[in-house]
Amino acid sequence: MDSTMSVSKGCFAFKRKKKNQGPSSARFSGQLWYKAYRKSLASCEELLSILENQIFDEVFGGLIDYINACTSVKIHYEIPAATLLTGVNMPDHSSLFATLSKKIVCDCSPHVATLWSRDCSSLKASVERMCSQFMLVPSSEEADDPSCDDEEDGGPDSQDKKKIQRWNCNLKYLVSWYSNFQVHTSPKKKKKGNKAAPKSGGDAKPLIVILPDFESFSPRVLQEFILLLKGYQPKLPFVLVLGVATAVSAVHRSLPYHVSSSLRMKVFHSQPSLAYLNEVLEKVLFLPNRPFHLGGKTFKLLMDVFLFHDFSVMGFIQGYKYCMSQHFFDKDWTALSCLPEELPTAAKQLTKSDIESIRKLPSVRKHIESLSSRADQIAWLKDDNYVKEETVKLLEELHKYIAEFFASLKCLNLMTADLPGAPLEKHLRSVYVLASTCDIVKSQELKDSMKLLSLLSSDELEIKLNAMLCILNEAVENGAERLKDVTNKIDGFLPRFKTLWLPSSPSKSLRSPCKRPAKGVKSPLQSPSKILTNINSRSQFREKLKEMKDVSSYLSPFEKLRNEVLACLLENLFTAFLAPPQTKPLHELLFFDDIPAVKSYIVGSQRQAMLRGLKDPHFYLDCACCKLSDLGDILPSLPDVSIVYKLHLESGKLINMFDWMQSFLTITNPSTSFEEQTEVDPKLQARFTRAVAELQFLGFIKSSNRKTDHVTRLTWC
Amino acid sequence: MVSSPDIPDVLCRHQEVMQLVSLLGHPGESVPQSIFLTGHKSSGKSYTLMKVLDSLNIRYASVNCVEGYMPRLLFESILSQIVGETVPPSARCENIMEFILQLKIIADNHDLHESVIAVVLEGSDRLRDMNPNLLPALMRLQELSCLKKVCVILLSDVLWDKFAPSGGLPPPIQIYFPQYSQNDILKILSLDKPKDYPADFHSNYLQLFVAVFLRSCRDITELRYKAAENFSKYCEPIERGEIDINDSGKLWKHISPHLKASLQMIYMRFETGKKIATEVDSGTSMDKHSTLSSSAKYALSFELPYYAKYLIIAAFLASYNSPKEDKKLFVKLSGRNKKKVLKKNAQTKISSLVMGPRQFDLERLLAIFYSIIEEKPHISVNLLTQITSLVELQLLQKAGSDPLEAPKYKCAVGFDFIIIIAKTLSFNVTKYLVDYK
Repeated sequence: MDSTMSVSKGCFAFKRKKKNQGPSSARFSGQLWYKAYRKSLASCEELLSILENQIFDEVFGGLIDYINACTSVKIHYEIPAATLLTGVNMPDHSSLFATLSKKIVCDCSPHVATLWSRDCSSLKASVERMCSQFMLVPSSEEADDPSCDDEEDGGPDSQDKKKIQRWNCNLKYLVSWYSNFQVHTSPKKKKKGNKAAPKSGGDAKPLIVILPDFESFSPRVLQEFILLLKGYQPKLPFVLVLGVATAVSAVHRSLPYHVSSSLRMKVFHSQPSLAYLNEVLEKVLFLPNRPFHLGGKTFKLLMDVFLFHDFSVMGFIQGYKYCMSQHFFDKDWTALSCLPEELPTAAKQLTKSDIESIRKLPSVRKHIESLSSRADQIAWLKDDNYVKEETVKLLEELHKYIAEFFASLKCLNLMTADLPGAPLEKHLRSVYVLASTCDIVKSQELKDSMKLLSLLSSDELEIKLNAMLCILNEAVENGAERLKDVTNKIDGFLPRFKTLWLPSSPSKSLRSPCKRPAKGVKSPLQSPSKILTNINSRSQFREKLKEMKDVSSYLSPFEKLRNEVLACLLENLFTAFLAPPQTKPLHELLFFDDIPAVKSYIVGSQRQAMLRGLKDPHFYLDCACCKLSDLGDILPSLPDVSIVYKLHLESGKLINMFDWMQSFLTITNPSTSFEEQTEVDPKLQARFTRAVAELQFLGFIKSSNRKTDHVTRLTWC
Repeated sequence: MVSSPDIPDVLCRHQEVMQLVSLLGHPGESVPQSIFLTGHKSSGKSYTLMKVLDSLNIRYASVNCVEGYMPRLLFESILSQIVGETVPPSARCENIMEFILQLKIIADNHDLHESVIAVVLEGSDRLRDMNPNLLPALMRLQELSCLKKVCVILLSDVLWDKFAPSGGLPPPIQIYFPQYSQNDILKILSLDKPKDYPADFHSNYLQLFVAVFLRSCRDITELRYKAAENFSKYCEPIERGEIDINDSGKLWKHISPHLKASLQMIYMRFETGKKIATEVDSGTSMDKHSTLSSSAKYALSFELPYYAKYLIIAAFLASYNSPKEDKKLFVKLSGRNKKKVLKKNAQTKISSLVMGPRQFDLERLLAIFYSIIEEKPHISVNLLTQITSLVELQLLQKAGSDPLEAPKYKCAVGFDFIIIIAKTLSFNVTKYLVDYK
């Protein structure tokens, strides 16, 4: 701070130094786990962004065509209003509309303004915001310069610009700006040639106003705003884009008829967020070749948050990413959470302590115990290099297992999804939760659905088998060799379906069913008298009848085939490949299932946090002085609120303020141990009063009308 | 009386035109300070006035008072229009004094003392909500600016009586634009006659059209829009050659369902390309849920998260039951008391379902929420943000204004909506409603 050495007193302004790129990332950047984490995150984000683009393209395609059409045809008096029904997943909307606005800039018109309801409490504010967004758009020379973003805190230059224009932020000025803009840009277009050519739909590009959260606008502002825009429609070609979360009728409910009749609406639907999530699951989370998977419990937690709370795909993805960071954080051995090709190099980098922590993993211990030869066990415990080699082997095995697991899970879902009543859940996501938390093969649900499956018609079965074959073949191509066996078997079944109904065979197939039932019927028919004579009791009779029924149940060739197919599937596919991940050694490396670590972060619970803070301030403050051996202890070094809170726990429904303060004083000021401190240190009294006020603000106490110097306690544990 | 070529011809507004011309159209005579044109929405006020002003070659400035959220904009707009320049003026004009001053300067510069200047203020009812001095000052603009030929013309669909000036204003000259009669409407609509069809064919159509629409709408712009929209449908079978052009009976049969459907969508303008599709949709869905009210359809049209549904039901119960009954309704093992209450209320009170929602606070909402939901979710941030997002969706309303006080809410959806929501959860709401019979 040499530069402030000055004779005169004064204030010195320093320009803030440019921040380094994220101090936290710099600190971790060298570490193994961080590299693995970055890699995993990057690949996940890449997949997500591809998916996002693809989905947004579907939604926005029609909308952008419509906007372009609006510019070419201008005969109507109304303002064109593209209404995008977005669904109630509010947190996702901001990114949706940010993408939309970028896309419009690219494809339709450089004039885009996004008005959020929080900025538009009055007509004045909304008009100013709209105009400033239009006019601050970098004009064509600046547009080529990517650094020229109109961020909140740009250089002094842009702020200067803003000041001037804030005064001029009205529609009158916008009209003249717009006509200038048209004049300026139109000759340039010709010079620029090919670059501007695709951009220019018509001569006059429309001014697009996006209102992402239509419902939260105050109706009055909205009405006036639309009327105002309508007044300028002949001079300024406005196009509105309304983001409506609920239904189109919401627009008509908040606008009176003379306003709504000045909008020409066209409705677009965005994809329901549930469909979006299914896509995300299928294309990102459930891909077998990922180094990181969510365990069943964590996955269920995230799904519950999604389904029960907010329908927000963004929230889901954030939760997923958080789980990922938690999985990797500060654990170097997680460097092994990578693709199988990279395993050997990752294993080489492990240190002794990393190996030690791998040994400590519960699944590894189980694995060691299960080893048969003593020598192997000792090698596992002593020889680091041996452990490295074995881990790599095991992990490669695990990767294969995952590929098989997902493929067979998909097959199972395919078989059971459309069963009546869906005993095994309809969606892949729920089947995944089931399969990865318990042994699905032994579950009652699977048994039920197998029963239902044994009633399938041949057509349905054939279609399903074909679809299954596709999935399996794909999986085999991707390296799950062990599935090859089942695939071949299923492949072998398919031609038999064809021969079942071939016209050449009916003679045989017709005859055989004719004959056999005849036999089946005859034999019991002949015998009943004989059998019945041997029967002495009713129970015996019942058993006999059952036997006869079993004998008489005749299976057609198709039924036989069906049973065979189902048995084969159950045996060779589901039982073989659907063991839950927990049974595999080293599953902790690829599956994250540590719910307690993430739950409090993903599902924030403010009351719990508050109570925890009051009971155990050390948890948040992390200072040595507040460390409690027992949560009931009260130390003088605790924050005042915490002391007051702990004292109030000891009292009944009404709390005497004076007694309360006395006990507070004995704790904070134990040196002066009078019987009763009549002369109270005003500082201490003030601290006490403030703490009580804070407690009241937090809702633990309130003043009582019954007794003047008492307060009422509001919570009980 | 007045030389006829100057008088513009406005259909069905001859009398009003004559009145305006007699007030403004005599260059030698003085001009009234202010004229007040009133009449229903789209009864041709602005159109007539503009025609008259144009034909009389009067210099005028026309502004819409919606823009008056800042009076500055009104003033500057008026000034620039009088001068006749399109770019916004460089000089600022913040208040009425500066406005009058600049008006004088302009009059001096452009030598306007002897020619009539009209200042047209559309939607002038908005002036009442602005600065209380603004309206009186504008109405006396002639007097204040000492320009003898300035006339302020106010347009509004509110009667002058409703302007209720507290200080008392000299009443302006009022011209009332009555609503168009059926014949007027027919005349005006027949102006839009397409070229390819004979006049009596079109007027036949208009007769049918007006008979259906006139009861619910007299807004001439809306009628014109609807007439044009439906005419193409009317002509469709003729173009396809299915119905003869003179077979009006068959044509009526063909068009009447379209007209009825179109009447349902009045004042809602959907894109014409998709129009047919949406109409077919709405037609089929109307058959399906013809018994459902509009709010029920609203409820069916979007999906809410699971807890949000329970929250909105809890909000409804909190809004339509009085807090006194809560204990009887929601505390288990008090069945006998409940029945008593039911009987007593049925006799004495008006059902609270008709009374509109009451306010309730957050704690009560959560308490009811936890008593009607079977599983007990943690009070988490996610759950509480659901309440905010319900407010954002306008399914709940925030009532308390004090941010420190416990927030208060009101349920903004009706019984039909809740019934639908509850059905998706297979939850019996009526069990918890005291007043439901």
